[in-house]
Amino acid sequence: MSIQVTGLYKHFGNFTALDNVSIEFPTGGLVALLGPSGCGKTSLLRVIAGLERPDSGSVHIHGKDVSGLDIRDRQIGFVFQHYALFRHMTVFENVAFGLRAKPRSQRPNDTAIRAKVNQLLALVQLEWLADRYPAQLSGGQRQRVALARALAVEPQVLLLDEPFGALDAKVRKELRRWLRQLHDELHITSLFVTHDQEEALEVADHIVIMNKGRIEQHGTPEQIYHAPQTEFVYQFIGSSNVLYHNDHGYSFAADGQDEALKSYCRPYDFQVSAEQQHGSLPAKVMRKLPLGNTIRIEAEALLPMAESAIIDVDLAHNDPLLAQIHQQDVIWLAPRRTVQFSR
Amino acid sequence: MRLTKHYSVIPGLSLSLGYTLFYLGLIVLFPMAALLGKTMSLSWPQFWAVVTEPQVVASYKLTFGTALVAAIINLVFGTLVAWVLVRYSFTGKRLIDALIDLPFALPTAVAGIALVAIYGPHGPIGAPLLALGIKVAYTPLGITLALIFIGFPFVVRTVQPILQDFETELEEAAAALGASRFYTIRRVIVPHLLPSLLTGFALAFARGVGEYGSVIFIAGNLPFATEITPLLIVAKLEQFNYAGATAIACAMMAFSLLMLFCINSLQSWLERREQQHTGVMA
Repeated sequence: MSIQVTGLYKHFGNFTALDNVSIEFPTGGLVALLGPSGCGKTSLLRVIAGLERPDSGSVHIHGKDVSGLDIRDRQIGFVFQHYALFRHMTVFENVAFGLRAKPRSQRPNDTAIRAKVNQLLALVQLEWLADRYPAQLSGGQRQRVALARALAVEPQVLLLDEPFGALDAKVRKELRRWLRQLHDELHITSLFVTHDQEEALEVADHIVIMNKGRIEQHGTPEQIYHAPQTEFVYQFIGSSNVLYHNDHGYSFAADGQDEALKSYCRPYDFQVSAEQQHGSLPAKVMRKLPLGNTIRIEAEALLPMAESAIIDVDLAHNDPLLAQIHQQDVIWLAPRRTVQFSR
Repeated sequence: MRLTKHYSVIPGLSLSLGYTLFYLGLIVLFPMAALLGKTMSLSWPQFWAVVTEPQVVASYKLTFGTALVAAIINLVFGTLVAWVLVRYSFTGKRLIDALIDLPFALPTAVAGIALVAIYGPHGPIGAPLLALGIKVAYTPLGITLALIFIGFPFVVRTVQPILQDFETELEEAAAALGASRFYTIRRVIVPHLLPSLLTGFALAFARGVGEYGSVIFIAGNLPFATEITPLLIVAKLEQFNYAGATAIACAMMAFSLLMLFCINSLQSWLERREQQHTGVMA
């Protein structure tokens, strides 16, 4: 196991960032730490890096206890959300920084540094920008320079803190795919923090879901998506609707019922029709959102009391029913598949 | 060449420029011109004789030398204080932050008297130091001390905001790359602070050169040893030798101007380099 953390606790004042976190990360994997803001994912990454000291617990990298070691001696590569490039240095000097900073006895000579930096710049496809300064690059280019800089010192593990967070959607997508390819080439154990579930599902081969300083579930993207073990994971990954199960079937309203009867339904798990069917629930169409291959219908559940609930329903873009329903129309929804979590 | 007028949401360039020139003329240039005019009443040989008199030359050396040393010391310790104020929080931080500006507000004579009381031969620090053979008051050391006191806020106040903007991520990035603390300071932090360090240094130095009030109390004012140029000027005035006083003032002004010009050029060179680095995108 290449990274192992045991019993980590970390508090910032009254706020608990890590609450007894223990996990082993597979060697050579590309792991996503996923969760909403404040869930402790960045704290976990920073504790592993050595940028933050845990209140208690230990960190092992490749079987070696590094808990007491300074970040300088942990041999990790760290990539920041806002790149953290040295702006008074050229791209070349940024990448060479880690090599030049080595103590004299370990420092490679100038020719070796030049060769290494050029090789890394070739790897991130930025050789032609070697003499530019960071401010002259685009966000995506800067992040690739930051990655090359982190890789220059041949780290044992690569830690990335929301590496695509500051980029626009298109560049983000390209860079994700590129990171995946790079990882397949280098096989360096990598952890990246993200709050974007799509990003995690797309890039990682292992996902760790965190909430309130604890690990909710970890597994492959398939396991996370198709077999969520907790209510939180179900709600966090993909959209979901809340339903209440009672003697007569389902209802969108709690009606003061026991919380234990709460169940969930994905937007694409409704049987939709324009007329009332057995066991179906009425809702008024508010908006139709074109999401490409699917059309999402935002509908307001028609409830007896002053309660209100917005229901998301997904239909295939070529569903004939779509032509029949318009705004303010009432549609009837029958859940095909629901999930309940014991508490 | 045509003067193009750029559109701006806040108009009034010509008005503000006119005001600036008028104001600068009234407050700075006019008195300077009067100074030069008075000096003109001397012939060149007379002027030269006054400004190169051995006693005067000794005072230049003392004034500029002590101001330089004081500015260098302020540069180091002022930066350190700014660092502590920006990076750490501790009880009494706001009080210390307010105390920094005290040398600005205190009448300089008060500072001079206070320093003599403490570092004088009978003072609580001066006496033990004297026993160790270190004489502070009435020596160049005492003058330097006074100049450190009055120049201190300049460095702190110019470096502090720049340091505040400095992202700690850059230090973390350097550390993650294995750089030692010293290497990080030398290659990452100092290059970032350099323009503000230079400004702080220049201000502290300029202030030190012109300082009179606090120095005369602790200097002892012995000709050739602890007599600063501003004091000589005052002495000449007291003897109604106005031309002599203005002549020395002119020489001093020329020196100061030259040094400030050098520092400013160095700084704008740094800024140009910085701009080139930040490019158009930042």
